[in-house]
Amino acid sequence: MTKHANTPTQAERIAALQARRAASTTSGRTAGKRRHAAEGSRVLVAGLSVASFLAIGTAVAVAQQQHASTVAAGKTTTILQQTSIPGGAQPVARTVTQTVPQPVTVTQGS
Amino acid sequence: MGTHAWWYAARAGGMVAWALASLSVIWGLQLSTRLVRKPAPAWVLDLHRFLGGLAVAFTGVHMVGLFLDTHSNFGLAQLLVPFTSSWRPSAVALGVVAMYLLLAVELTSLAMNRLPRRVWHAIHLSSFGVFVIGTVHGLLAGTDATNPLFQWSVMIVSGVVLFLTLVRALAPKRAAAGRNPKATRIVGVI
Repeated sequence: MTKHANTPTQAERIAALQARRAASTTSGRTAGKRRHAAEGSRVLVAGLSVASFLAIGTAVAVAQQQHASTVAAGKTTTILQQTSIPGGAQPVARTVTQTVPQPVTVTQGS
Repeated sequence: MGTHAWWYAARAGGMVAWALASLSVIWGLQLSTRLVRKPAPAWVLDLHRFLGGLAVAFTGVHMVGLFLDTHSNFGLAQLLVPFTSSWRPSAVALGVVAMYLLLAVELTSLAMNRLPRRVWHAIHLSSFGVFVIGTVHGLLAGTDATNPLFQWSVMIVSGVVLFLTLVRALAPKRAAAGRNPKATRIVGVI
């Protein structure tokens, strides 16, 4: 029993902890609002995440549009080749008129 | 671009969500291994929690984008019930499962003080499942899976996670916490 004479009792330890907690919540903090240990880093990470989201979205959109225009250009080339075939040009050109306007001009001109 | 805006938002949201979830796993492993001793455990723990929350938010963006995109035909059922998608059903199902696991990890972490530690810890360990399943989902279902930048990111992040997991698994129990007395309390709950 004498061994524990100088050690604080459980009630004292709890009281000390509560006092420390109360002190830490009132010093430099607004009541009811908890301060986060990594507050600055939180803002940085959130900002970087939103920036990454916008950058990736834009990059994906640009890549998609470039891919679409490349495919369209490829189609135009193929159609132009097809329309140059005598006899077989007219039906192909009619189909193409709805999607790609360029071959129509070529077909009409030839 | 206008008509596909939600589709691009879904793709970007998915990639950012994966990156944030991966970073959260890495931060959590750093917290338990204390491999890098410089950052304070409280700072790492706070950022670990914030990264997890942001991952949930961007998963929401990913799902809302898919739902609102008129070209991909994703309804509520396809987003919430595995194997209901007609497009790559298995790969999409993995994403649905990863989303539920992520939600479970996040919600139990928010209610950590009200749960038995063992229950919380068992559920928290499924964050490894979130990482693995989410990564496979991205590689199999993702439109950008063939993008070299995404592939390199997956390889590097997976390597870091694997390394830290091995360090955590092979290190003597609580040895990491013992290096820093301040860390003991925090590591004790991880």
